[in-house]
Amino acid sequence: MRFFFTRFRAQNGRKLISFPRLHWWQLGLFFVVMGPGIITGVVDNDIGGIATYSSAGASYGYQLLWVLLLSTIALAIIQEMNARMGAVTGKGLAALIRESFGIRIAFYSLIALLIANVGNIMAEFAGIAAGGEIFGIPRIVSIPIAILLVTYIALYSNYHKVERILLIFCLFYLAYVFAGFLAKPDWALALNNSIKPTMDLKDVGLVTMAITIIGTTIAPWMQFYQQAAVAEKKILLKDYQYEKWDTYVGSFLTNFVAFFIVVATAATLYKNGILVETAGDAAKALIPIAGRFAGSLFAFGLINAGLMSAIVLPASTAYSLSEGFGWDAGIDKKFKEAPRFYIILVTLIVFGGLSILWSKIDLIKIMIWSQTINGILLPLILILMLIIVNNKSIMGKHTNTKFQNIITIATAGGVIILTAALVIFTIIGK
Amino acid sequence: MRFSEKLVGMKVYSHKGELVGSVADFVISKDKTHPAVNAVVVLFNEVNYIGKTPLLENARKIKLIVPWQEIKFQNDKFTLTQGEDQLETNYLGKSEILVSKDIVDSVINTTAGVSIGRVNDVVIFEQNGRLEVFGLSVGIIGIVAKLGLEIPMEIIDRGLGKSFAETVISWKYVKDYKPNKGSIELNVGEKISTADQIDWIESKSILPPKNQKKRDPLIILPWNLVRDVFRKSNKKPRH
Repeated sequence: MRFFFTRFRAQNGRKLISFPRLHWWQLGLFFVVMGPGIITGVVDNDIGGIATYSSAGASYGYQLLWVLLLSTIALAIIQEMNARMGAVTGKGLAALIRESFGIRIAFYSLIALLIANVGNIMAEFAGIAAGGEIFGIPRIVSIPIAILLVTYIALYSNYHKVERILLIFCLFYLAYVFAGFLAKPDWALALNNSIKPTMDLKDVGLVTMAITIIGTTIAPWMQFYQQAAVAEKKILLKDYQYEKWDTYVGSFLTNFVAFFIVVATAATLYKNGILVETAGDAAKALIPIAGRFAGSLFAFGLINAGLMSAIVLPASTAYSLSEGFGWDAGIDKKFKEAPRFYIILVTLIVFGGLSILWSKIDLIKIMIWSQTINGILLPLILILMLIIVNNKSIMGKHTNTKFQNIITIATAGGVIILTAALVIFTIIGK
Repeated sequence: MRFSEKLVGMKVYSHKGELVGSVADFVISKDKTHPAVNAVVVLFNEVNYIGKTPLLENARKIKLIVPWQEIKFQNDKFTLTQGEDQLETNYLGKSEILVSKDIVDSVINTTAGVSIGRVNDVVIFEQNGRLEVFGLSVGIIGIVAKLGLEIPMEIIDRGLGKSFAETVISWKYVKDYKPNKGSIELNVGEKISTADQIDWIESKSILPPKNQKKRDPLIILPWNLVRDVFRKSNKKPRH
């Protein structure tokens, strides 16, 4: 790449692209700052996400891989704004929404976020249960352990420790990459479909699935979580460039993992005509086709994803509600210093876990509902974000440039239209 | 006692009785115990003069600060006391802040750094023809009133036969206001020993506070609540 540009510059006679010299300490700083973006990006592949990607791979093979490229770009653009707002103001998104638009908008959007997140948290625990059952652990054992573990991590550590634990969880997502390789996919076809968009607009199922992938990838909790984490980590403007790269790496990782999930299921389940609706079913279905090891990797990934999201999603909700109502918040604080924050956090974890354990709930219906609420909430959040990020009295000189505005408005507009379509499809589909 | 947000948006009439605009905000001095409204920010539909100088073209939808001396508040109606062409150009003083823009939705912190919550609204009352700030509303009524849930609230209120009480932090506890951080600092430590309360019906009239009830503590932390419940149950006479 560098060789290419150097040569191009020599022929042209002027400098087209300059490569800044990177110092080793800059890389060190990146490792210090990284976290909020990568964690948000990786947690995006939660149980709901894995279910969607598995289902996309099982139903349509490699066909929809190009959508991942699109959603990576859209996600990076949207999350960058959150990172910037967090670094400039030192406040979370919920706090900025309350201060800029008053309680009415803040209250209703936070309630919607709460409801949608509760649905998602239940799904995370269902994923842990399903993953555990593949290894022969009954949910009556796995769920209480998961609840205790997640609560312990959230309660008895400071922010940096929790972040490090979450980054370790991120590493375990490699399980999906291995699962992808074990499935022995057609790499040439997969890569070709990743770059070349193909779409049969008459196929309603295919269109809905494409939109669902984008809808799953860009969810409101992510904007709230990343900005709150940037604010809590006290990432300042001077370190913002590293946070920006953290965000971009996170957005890339989201779809990097998603790519391997789609590939793994496409090479196995799609080939054998097996359709799946949940992530647990996908892992179970993989075992006879791709082998015990690939299936186990998939199931292990599920447990890992479930545990990680069972910390991050309740935290996102607790951060947002506390910021919106002006209560002390933060994983860095002790229980006594931020009681409401921790009560929300622990209640969500315990409720999410126990609901899977004791009641015979229709989880797919709950997921559809929470996806619909997310679909209604996301356009509102994106519009509010665009207004805030362009407000000079809040952002100073770090408002969007004209170019950024064109890109962000186009992205947000596209996402809004797609999510609106998804909500309509979901309602009609019922 | 009235929530400031109920006064914002009220129509403003000229001294001839014509509609000229609406109330956009109130200007108060932050360093008084019960700060009076010094001026009203009026959103004029159209003005021909600014600072007694005629404009080349009429300006539409423009916000101007009108000092309290030049405005009259009577029977829920704001009226300018002189012609619009006589309005001076006014600026915010050093210790002056805006009620809606600066105070509402800010975080309230104690000196110990504990955050009590956000200001849901500012409670204002009328005394001797002037509007004065009573305090910061931090309870549920302030939220409900703004969420557009007043009718169900009214029905419950009447059905119960007793009124909901709203927790209000009196302005006398306000130590400082930090505009950049968007936070209000109180001059109290972890707990405020007294909290003023106004009830639902009271929140709808503009009259000064009547019988202020005092309760303790204001910051209801979960374990305080549990402790209070136990205390109350302990106090019950044993048979």
